[in-house]
Amino acid sequence: MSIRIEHLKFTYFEDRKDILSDLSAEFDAGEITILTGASGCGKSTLLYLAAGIYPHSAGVLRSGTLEVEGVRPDSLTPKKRCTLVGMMFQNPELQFCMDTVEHELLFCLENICTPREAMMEQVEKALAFCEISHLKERTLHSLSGGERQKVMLACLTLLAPKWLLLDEPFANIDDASARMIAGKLKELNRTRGIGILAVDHRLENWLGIADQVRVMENGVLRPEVMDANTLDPELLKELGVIVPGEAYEPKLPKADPGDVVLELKNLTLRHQNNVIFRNVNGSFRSGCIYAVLGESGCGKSSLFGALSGLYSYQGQALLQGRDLRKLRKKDLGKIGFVTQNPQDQFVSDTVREEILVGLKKREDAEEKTEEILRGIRLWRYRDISPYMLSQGQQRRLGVAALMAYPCKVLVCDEPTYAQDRNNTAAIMDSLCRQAREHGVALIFSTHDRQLAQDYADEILELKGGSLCVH
Amino acid sequence: MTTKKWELKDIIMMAILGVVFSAVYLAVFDGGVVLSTVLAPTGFSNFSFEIIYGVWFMAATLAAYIIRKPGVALVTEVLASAVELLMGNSGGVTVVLTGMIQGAGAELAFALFRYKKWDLASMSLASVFSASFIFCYELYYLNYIALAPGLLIAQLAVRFVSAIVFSGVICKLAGDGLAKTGVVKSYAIGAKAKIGKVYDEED
Amino acid sequence: MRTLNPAIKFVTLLGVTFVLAFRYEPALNLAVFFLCMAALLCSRVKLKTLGILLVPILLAAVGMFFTGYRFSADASMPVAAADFIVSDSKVWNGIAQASRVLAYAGVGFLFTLTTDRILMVKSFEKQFRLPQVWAYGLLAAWGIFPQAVQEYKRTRAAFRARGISVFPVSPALLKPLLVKSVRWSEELAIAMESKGFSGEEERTEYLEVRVRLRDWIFLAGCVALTILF
Ligand SMILES: Nc1ncnc2c1ncn2[C@@H]1O[C@H](COP(=O)(O)OP(=O)(O)OP(=O)(O)O)[C@@H](O)[C@H]1O
Ligand SMILES: Nc1ncnc2c1ncn2[C@@H]1O[C@H](COP(=O)(O)OP(=O)(O)OP(=O)(O)O)[C@@H](O)[C@H]1O
Ligand SMILES: [Mg+2]
Ligand SMILES: [Mg+2]
Repeated sequence: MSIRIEHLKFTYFEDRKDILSDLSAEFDAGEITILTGASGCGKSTLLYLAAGIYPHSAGVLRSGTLEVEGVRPDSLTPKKRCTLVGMMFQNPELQFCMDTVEHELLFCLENICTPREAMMEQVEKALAFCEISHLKERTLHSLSGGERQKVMLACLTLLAPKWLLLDEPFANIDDASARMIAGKLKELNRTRGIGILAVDHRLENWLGIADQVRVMENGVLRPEVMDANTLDPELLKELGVIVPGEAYEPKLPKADPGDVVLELKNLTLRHQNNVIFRNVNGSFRSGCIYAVLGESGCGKSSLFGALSGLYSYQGQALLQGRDLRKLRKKDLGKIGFVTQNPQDQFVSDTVREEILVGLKKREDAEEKTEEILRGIRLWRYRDISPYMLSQGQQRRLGVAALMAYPCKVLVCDEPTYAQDRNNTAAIMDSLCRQAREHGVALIFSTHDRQLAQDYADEILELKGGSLCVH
Repeated sequence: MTTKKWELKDIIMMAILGVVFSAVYLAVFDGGVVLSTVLAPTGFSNFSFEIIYGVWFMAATLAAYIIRKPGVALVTEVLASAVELLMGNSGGVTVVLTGMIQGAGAELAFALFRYKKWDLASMSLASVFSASFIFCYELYYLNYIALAPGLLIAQLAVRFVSAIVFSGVICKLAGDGLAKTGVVKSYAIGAKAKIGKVYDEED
Repeated sequence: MRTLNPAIKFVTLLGVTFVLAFRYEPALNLAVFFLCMAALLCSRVKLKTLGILLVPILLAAVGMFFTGYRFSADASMPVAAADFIVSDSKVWNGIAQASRVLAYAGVGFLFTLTTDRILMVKSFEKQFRLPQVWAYGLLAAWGIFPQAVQEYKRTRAAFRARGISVFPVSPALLKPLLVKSVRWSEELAIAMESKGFSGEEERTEYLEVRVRLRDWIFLAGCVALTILF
């Protein structure tokens, strides 16, 4: 009962270096294994291979074998495969095929030939198991990032595969829900014998639940097999993994609060007649850093979306005393946005262009672009399309695109999800430096409380439809 | 990967292009209506549609250019028109028929090249075929026969130019642009395309 | 109208437009148009939606009127147009062209506004033997449509957030959308396959779409009406 990998070599393009270079490993179904490692080292690629999606859909398997329970997953038909391995994708946007949550779950059941009479009962059970019964009738595209991940989990429990492969299942989920789900996963593992292999950068939600931690590096697995209950902080740090409970120790100059640049007055937002938040007030000063916390689905992205003009709202948002809705074109650029899903904001063909677009007016644009890309370790990818990057790399690029952009307010929706320790620090350091040096008001949302505590001057919490200072 | 059989991803690609272009068609239709109302009193309102007529063949040529398998042009065009109908096109149920005719035109052109030639020539031929096919149909369906012949010839000429510009040149440029980004690697169009490099240097 | 089987409804209305294409009678066209509007009102279609949809149609009808008015073919034309032209009056020709646009639009709206899309695809799958891959491929593509609209707004916002203002239909704006739709098709295919769908294997259905007696009655009634007229 295991996933057995032997001398796996895999690449996306024939003429390029291998992404996985001679990787061998064995994961046991009786245990929950967490796979971690630097962003872009090939974790997602490995999961795709284990789920039998590659090499059929992309890439070339140069040599080696990968067997799940003794069979090669890519040799099975989809119907058989989905009862062997189920995968939760890293990008929560693109994993659904139907319109509503209910239809999506029924679709799964239909595929595995569940008798019609039994379907609805199973759907209800799966929704209840993931504690999302209230979302049953909702359309999938209106769900928040975290809600989508829970729906995906519900799909997977319906398909009941022998192995669950989870790619950053908690990236957009608040800690409380994450721990709830982790508990459920443990239940699945212990009572139903479902093997679990999860990729995650933050280990703290797995403490007491996972059994094993493995670290990946440049396409191979490190030999260390760490017991998840007795983690050695020194070793983790050496391997560049975020140590649970450890502070980030930023080196930031002290805050020097400037004028109020952005002011929210009685902001109220509705989605299809549901009030998401009501009468939100707040003022943001230049040179200061604000963190917005809140459980998933509380409306952080909606708040940011309203400011960027995606959703209509009641009340006023004033940028330097002028209503956002009445700004002229020139002034609109004074407020920069990093969206939760980085793909939402890509506008160019190559990584380099993506940064250059925002720097058009500067003379040293080329040099600055190189500096930024080197800073987030993407310089060698400069000539490829942003869509060819790993999820974590895409996230970094999304943030970096606005790093040197001259604006008064910078709004970042979860700038550090899916990042390893070094990159988290690199991103936050340069964002915060920009805020301090250029007097930008930086507002970012996150699910990582430690991050908020270490970097923000002020922590705000969106809870029950209102924004309060922590 | 080079089988002629349609795979699930091909079908979804066609469906998506169909859905996307149906929206384009609708928008363009409304644009054309506005233009034709402006021109209405002069009696030249028909020309406003001729100028943009090429847009209506774009789904067929673009899909065929990307996927490069038999039947793609026809089916995508039919899909686009069917979805257009669902979103409230004024042509009524017969837009599906027009879609079929336009698609058949493009399909025939690609078939003449045995689905081996994918360049501006074959794309333009496909557009021109679509344009002529639909024109023959309209002669009867919209009763264009009742219009003066000189006007008809002028209309047809404008339509050819529009077809070549929109569904020939623009679609080819769009397809090549896509191939360069590497996101269509697993489709025929991207299989041999040159894409950017990942350098080996360390950062 | 809403409870009719979509596949049968589709065939019926297709038949009706077909008949219209071979008749050249403004009265029939207008009658069809008003019948459709009446049927729409009876099936509780929102007046606002209908109104918005009708505006471009009315404009198009006006355009067609003038075209028909100006360019009615000469009696001396070599083409055997006489079959189509009952009267050589210019006004009459204009009205005929215009009423035709209205009739087609009426029938089209009648289908669109009273048909649930999911049911429609499922019904096509059952009654027309549309292959499963197609049925679900279409549903999936349809599903991303609202996302695509959202995506368009987001891409615009993304440009704006970097201080670049773009023209609403500029290539710079459309290109990311094209790239995304290509990405979507690949990822949707992966998502569907990883949920066990291949389109080739057996699966069960939660919803069953059947053809009932009233569907046949509708079909027969419409055909009879158009033929008798
Ligand atoms: N277009 C929409 N239509 C209806 N409801 C929506 C829409 N967009 C979001 N919602 C709902 O509004 C709530 C807030 O969503 P939002 O995306 O702002 O949450 P969030 O705080 O960013 O969550 P997460 O941390 O999971 O990203 C959610 O319950 C979501 O389901
Ligand atoms: N579809 C693709 N086409 C080409 N190259 C890709 C593709 N997806 C990923 N890559 C490349 O393969 C490498 C490994 O990507 P992968 O997604 O496996 O990383 P990861 O370990 O999951 O990283 P992250 O933690 O950032 O998600 C990256 O360098 C990336 O640039
Ligand atoms: Mg990954
Ligand atoms: Mg969010």
